[in-house]
Amino acid sequence: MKVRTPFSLFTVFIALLALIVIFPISSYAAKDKIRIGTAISLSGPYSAGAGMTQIPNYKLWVDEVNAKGGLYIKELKKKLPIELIIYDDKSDTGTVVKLVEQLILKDKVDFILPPWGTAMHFAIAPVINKYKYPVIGPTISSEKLREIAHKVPYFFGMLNMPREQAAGLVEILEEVGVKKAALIYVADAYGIEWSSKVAPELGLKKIDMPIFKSYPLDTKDISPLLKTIASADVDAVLCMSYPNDTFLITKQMKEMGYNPKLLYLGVGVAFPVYKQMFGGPDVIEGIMGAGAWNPKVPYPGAKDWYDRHVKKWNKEPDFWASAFAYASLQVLEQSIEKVGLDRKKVRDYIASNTFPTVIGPVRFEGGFNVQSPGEIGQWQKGQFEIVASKAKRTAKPIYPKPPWPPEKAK
Amino acid sequence: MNSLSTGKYLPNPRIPVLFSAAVLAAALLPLIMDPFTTISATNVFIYIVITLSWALFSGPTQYISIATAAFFGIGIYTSALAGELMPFPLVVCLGGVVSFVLALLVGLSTLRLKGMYFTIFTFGLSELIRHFVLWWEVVMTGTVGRWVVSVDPIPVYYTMLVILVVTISFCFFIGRSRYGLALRSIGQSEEAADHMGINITAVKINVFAITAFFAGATGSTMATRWTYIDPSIAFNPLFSFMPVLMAIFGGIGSITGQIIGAAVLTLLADLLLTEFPYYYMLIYGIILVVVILFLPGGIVGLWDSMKKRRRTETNENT
Repeated sequence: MKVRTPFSLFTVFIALLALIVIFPISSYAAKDKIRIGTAISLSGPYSAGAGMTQIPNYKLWVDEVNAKGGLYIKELKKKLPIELIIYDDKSDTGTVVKLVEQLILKDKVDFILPPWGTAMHFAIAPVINKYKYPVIGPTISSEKLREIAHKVPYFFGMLNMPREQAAGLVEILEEVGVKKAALIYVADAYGIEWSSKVAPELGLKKIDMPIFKSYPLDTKDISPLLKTIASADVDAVLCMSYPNDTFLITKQMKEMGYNPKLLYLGVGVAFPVYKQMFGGPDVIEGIMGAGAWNPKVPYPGAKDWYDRHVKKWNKEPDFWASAFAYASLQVLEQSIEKVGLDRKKVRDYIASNTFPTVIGPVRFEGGFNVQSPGEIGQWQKGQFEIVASKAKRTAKPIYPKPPWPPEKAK
Repeated sequence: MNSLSTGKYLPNPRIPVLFSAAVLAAALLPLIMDPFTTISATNVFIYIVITLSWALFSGPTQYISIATAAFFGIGIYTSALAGELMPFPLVVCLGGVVSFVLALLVGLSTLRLKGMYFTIFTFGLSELIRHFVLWWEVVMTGTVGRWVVSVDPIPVYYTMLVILVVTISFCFFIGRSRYGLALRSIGQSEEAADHMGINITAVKINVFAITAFFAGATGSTMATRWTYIDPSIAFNPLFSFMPVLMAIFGGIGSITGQIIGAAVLTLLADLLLTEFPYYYMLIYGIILVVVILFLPGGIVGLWDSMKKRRRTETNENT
């Protein structure tokens, strides 16, 4: 008689353990390449931003470095090519933390490239710090992270922060003579932090703020709020917005025919798609937005990088954080070629030097780039011109904003 | 209830021995395996616990709850708020207790709902809590995200192991207790169960709340690994749907099936995610559809039918 083993709890446990044990058989090889890993959003709400701002630059950089034979490593006295490992974090912080640990512990990568967006940077900062991997984050704009930067010395922030940006923005308002402004913001980390810096700045410059309101992240109709603003008779409308609401506000303002003298929106204005999505460049003439980079900036290599990006991907980079993402790779490249693959040394080198990049000289103070205060751009004749700060200007701000062009007959 | 301790309901005397052996092996795992294996195993444990806790109530009673994310998220927020105030094990217990209390209150007010109404309500509940927390954070604290005190992978692993062992034991014993019988009779005919003298409301509410305890404790534990949370992360509806899928995938009727379903799907997701980042969702979806279409009893159902066939074959041969 055959003995039947009951397929029960213990079998499950054994099978489970076996699976876990067999699962992560990783390979070890001699050092013939530099492994760089990233967990970034290929799916989910952050994937649009990641696919615009970071991933094209990661791939461009790796291809370029490998085309010239790799990064020169001093201790080995030779060039090593880069192998890039990309995982999908599903726009989920739990997944990004786990995948970053997988990259570090299982894939044993030499360096980590950051994911996209403020929340994701928040999530990985303690992890990369624990394993002592230097990471330069290009898409985080948060005062809260700056406050705890001393606790995560391996994390560096590249993008401009609300504090400086707010000052830069309000400076323009003062310059052009805005007396009354409405401030609205998306109820997400970005909007909350930005509005909390812009509001007091307006007060300091004695600019009236009759409207100061938030709206939820996934708003589908914002016209009631816009009507309230229109009836308040303000000079400037300032929206601390994320791409989806940036597009929505622009569209609904145009439909209403409400044309304030100055319109500022947050992330999204500097995206190349913005130029076309409302019917061409003359529709968005005079709109201001977060981000200030265009190929006219005087930094070495800037125009060249722009051309290479357009050539490789057949599309323009965005004028918000794309250049910052590429610049963070330049900082990493220069540091590795200087001090080798020792991550502690790389971290110290990043923390204490100035780097020439496509966004100008980059220097970190307290973990954050002190490049320039305030980075605001404005669409002028199909170009995203830099209007703040004054020293970086590529054009004078247009004020008041031209009226919306009449709807073309179809 | 003393029948629980007598052991006369244990069908196989080898189970406790082998179960202890498996637990011991799991306890030794971090000592012999590399750190990432421990992290992977922790992830598997989470899904097993939420699947078991979901199936413990929803399986026999057929009250399909999709509120797991609410209890999980409550645990996560407990961890974020209490993480700096008290030691880690206490935080985990507190997360469970808060979820338990919430489930008790919810249960008292809603478990008189039936069928589809109950399901929709539970889904609404987690959305309600998510939006409430979001509103609170934006208006009252002026932020959305929070940091959670980070805990190393090894203590988290052992905490999850303890929660897992407690959950499995609890499910095992309750399935064989009067409570389990009562739950099954509620599932078959609530009126009949009522007429037989079962206090159906009490049974439902108690078991519902206890399952919330496990989900809450798991949330509290995991928050320390995620380190940063906001309302949409903590109350991600995925945590409501995954346990349902996993239980169906493995076989909703048995603890074994639920464990297999959770473990296989978690490991499969991890593998697909890293090996096929661009096709991951597609492959995952196809596998789910195939299993649900062709294996109504889940993986365990397949095993049972194979055993049955083999038995009939051997009978025919003799």
